[in-house]
Amino acid sequence: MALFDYLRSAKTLEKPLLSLVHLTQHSSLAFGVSWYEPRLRRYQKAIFAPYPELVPADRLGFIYNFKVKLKGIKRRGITK
Amino acid sequence: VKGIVRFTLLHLSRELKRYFGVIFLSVLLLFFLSSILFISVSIEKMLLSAIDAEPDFVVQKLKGERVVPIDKNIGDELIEIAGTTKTSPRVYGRYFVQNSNKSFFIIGIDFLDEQSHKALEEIVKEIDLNKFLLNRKNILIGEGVKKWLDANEYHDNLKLFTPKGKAVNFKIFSTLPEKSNLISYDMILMDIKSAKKILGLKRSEVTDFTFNVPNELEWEIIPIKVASLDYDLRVISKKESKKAYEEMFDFKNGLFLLLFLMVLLAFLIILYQRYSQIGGLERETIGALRAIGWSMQDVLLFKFLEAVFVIAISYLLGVTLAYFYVFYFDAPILRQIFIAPDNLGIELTFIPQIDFFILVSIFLFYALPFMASILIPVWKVAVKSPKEVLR
Repeated sequence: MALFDYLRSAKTLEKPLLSLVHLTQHSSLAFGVSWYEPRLRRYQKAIFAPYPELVPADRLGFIYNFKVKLKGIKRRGITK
Repeated sequence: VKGIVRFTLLHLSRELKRYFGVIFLSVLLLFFLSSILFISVSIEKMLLSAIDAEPDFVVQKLKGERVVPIDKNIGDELIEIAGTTKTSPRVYGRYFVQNSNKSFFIIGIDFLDEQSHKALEEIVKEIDLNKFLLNRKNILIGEGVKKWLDANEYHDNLKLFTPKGKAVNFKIFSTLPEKSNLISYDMILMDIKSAKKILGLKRSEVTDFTFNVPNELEWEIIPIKVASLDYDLRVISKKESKKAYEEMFDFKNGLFLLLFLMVLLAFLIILYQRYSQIGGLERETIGALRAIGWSMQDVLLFKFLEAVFVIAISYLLGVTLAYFYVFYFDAPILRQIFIAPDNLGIELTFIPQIDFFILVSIFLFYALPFMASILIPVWKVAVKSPKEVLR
């Protein structure tokens, strides 16, 4: 009996899944395995784990940001 | 023949204890094999039916090997190609939470579109659509996202950041149904404009485009026409993604089957050894049967029936137990073979699928070698004259 109940319910179980595919036009799995998600690899993970606030030495972006900020302050100073 | 069948039944009822060990091991082997195959077939079928519901083709723009945002206007060029229908843009991407190393799958949807409206009503039945559509910052989240957010004390609101670091507040409106977990577990559905903001897309950009080609005879030529619209376009057909998934499942099944065959071989070698060194009772039985006038064929038939009994009981028990283990209890430990808890993990309800081909192949993988490992040594003994056997 249980077997027949289950077989009957198989279609009702599938319905929300298919409606979601219709809505999103996506059928990619949510398994969350990292090799499944190549996009995940593109995020930079360069932060040093014991000191998360430390910026790695090979990236000098913060210096340029700092300069831009300084310029902004100066400009504002002049205009004011 | 009737006499032999009756004798076999009597023999089995008397000597049932002796078969207990063999039946137990066989049930265990069949249980593992069937469980793995049931899990894989169920996921594969769910997935393939989901792919069937997807549009036929996807057009993406590439730079290097990366998918980059594509201009919205390509939709007009696509629809101008004879044979294409239903072109529609998709906006999606991953939102990575660096502190916890988790990621969500963000999908932007034009909720005001009539078809999306209907589909949404079908998915979340208890939702008040008017209320949901009033605020563009309302979002729907998958079960996995909900669990992660609850664990991190985000109950009603969620703050996401644009690539420029600007925070956008969203209101968690409802959770997507558990039955769609296979796809929606790590999903966040939001308004298309908000999704573009979070994913860093310009107003005129989308992630990729989909379109349908109703005439299957044109499936070969239309992708070529579409790809020739620009130098950096890639067209992926539904068939290709189906094939990729099938290959992946075949690979995992094959790996497990290989391990299973090794275990089965070890089991059969033990069984073969046991029957080839038939001493005492087993040998005496065959010798006595031969002495009272049973032919070699009769003895083999008797042993064949005995093996059929063991195979039938083990097969039925093993497969039935596996069925309930997978489809009633959702395969607690074994499902980890297919689902690694790397990102948010996943909680699945397996949809019952009975594949006749799988049932037959499980039977053949087990029954034929089992039968051979019993009948060959018995035949070797039965060929000899009764005198020699009894001595």
